[in-house]
Amino acid sequence: MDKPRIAVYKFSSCAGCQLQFINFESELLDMLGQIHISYFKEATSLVEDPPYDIGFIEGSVTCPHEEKKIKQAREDCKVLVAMGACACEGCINTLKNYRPIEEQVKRVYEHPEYIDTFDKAYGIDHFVDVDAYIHGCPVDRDELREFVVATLMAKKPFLRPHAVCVECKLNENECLLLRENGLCLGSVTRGGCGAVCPSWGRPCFGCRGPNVDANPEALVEIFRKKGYPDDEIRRRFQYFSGETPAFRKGAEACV
Amino acid sequence: MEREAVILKKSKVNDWVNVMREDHTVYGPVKYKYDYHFKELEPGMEVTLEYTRSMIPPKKFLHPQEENLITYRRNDGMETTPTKFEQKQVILGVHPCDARAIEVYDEIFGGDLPDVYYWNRRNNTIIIAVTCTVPDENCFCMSLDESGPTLEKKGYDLLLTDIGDSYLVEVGSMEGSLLLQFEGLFEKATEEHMHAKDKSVEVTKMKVQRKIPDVPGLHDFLEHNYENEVWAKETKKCLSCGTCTLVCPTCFCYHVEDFNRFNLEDGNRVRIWDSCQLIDFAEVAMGENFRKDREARLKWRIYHKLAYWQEQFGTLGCTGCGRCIQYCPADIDMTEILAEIRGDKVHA
Ligand code: SF4
Ligand code: SF4
Ligand code: SF4
Ligand code: SF4
Ligand code: SF4
Repeated sequence: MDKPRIAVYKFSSCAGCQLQFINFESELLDMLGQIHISYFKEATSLVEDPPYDIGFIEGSVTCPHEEKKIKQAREDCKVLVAMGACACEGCINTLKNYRPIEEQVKRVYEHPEYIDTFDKAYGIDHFVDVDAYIHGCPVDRDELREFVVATLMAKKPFLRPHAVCVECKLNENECLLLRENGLCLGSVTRGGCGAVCPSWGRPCFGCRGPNVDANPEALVEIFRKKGYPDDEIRRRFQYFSGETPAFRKGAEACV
Repeated sequence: MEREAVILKKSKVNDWVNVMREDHTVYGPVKYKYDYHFKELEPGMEVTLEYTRSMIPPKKFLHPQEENLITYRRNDGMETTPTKFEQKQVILGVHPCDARAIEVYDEIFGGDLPDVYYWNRRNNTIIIAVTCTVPDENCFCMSLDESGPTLEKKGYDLLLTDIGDSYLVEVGSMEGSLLLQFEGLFEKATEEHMHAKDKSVEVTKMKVQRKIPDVPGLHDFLEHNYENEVWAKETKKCLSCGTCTLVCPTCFCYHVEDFNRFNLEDGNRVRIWDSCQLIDFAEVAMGENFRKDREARLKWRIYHKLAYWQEQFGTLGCTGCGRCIQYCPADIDMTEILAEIRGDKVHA
């Protein structure tokens, strides 16, 4: 079998997710033994024409020009993968979704008249069909490897669909929600990151988006009992993944 | 006096740990910021034998969170990789509820098809239990075993009981007695010391206030109340975070994953703790999931522990350690649920 031709695209994002490919370092040669890089600007200036077998999309879609580009990518790639929080859920780019756009453009840019942007930022599945999601800000390298390798072997990758709390317990972390009344979203957020933030004493802010069966209303009740004002709870839900149905429910449960 | 026992002054516990460490790996409960955790005892570390519960039970030394089962190269053989024990591991400070849970584990991982990875660890493990003296409001061991905060004759290699400025050390096995062969640490126990233990246990038993009534009738009681409205109410609160089972000393479920490397040749087959509370637990090929519903999952844990376990393993799947109550972020408490269905109070 020929090696699959891979494209890695960048939209509105920090370039940290695609960097995870390069971060494979000592494993890179083995990886390149299995895939062929056709388009990956961060890694190589050589560009081959489409079609591509697998397109990894980093970044959210925030402006008309990106909408065109993502639709083209969908046409050019047999399999389209949303890679990282921006492509999957919109990530912090969606912070602009909760305030008037004119106000924000003025605040950020010296010459707002040059800016042509949507009112809202979106994950890519707002515009195109997506075949697979790899979550995280940035994506976890072990999960990225698992995804690539499992796909090449035609098996289902092991990407945790359940809460971050599981890995928190596996790491024997003392629970920040329980013990420090922390505003931790781990119980409604998709695991797979190894509970990295709570492991370093920081509450999870939900960068991986909701877990498959998240129960955000229940968590809102718990936060309230701990004395958090609704406004603060809502902002926490809107931080990284506010446009996902589950986190929107969490935000909307706040008055 | 038929019990074989000696006395260890509390001031000598550290000396004892140090001599044991010469040819054992010794683990014991250590206080972190909020919780106790079983850790390897290294010089300068302080072991605490007077503690209520560790967050993760000592089960992790017999069935670790992650265990490599097989290292393989595809089409070119494989190697099973049970951990090699150069020296035995001593788990110091195991509470009676957790020691009973290890007996439950022996059932689960034993039977007709013994689990080689488990028994490799188990056969290299020495359990030094300690009679519990500081149960809290979440403990209900007395409902499940009348010895409650102590152990009677089984479940340990050695059993320590606080009798003031010393521990009474009772011997449960040959292996245990070998750990008492050190000069200058132990003194002979007298009848008086035995009485002191019995008294201390009586006092502790009084402190275990939480109860599940009519344990033998639980199976039928639960079967009759599967449709009770309490379940839906509790389900609304549940985050399906899995904590209640991950911290439970008898929960044993794991899933098995093959992690392959980029060369698509080499890989590891690993088993990792799983939980029936998680959405992916009962998912099978083609995406079918026979326990998708949150309420069914919440009920399953409680029904498994208190009803179905009996049929499966001949014991109950709960020792009353209180962890699932203490560590549930949503305050879901199976003893309260049972009481609510019955219409009575949990605390006697
Ligand atoms: S700290 Fe957060 S992620 Fe960890 S167990 Fe607690 S709620 Fe879950
Ligand atoms: S703990 Fe939460 S915020 Fe941190 S990386 Fe994981 S999902 Fe993201
Ligand atoms: S009962 Fe509590 S600990 Fe168990 S899954 Fe539900 S919320 Fe988590
Ligand atoms: S079910 Fe709860 S109380 Fe019973 S042994 Fe497990 S964690 Fe302890
Ligand atoms: S309660 Fe759940 S996790 Fe625990 S042993 Fe039963 S099925 Fe497994």
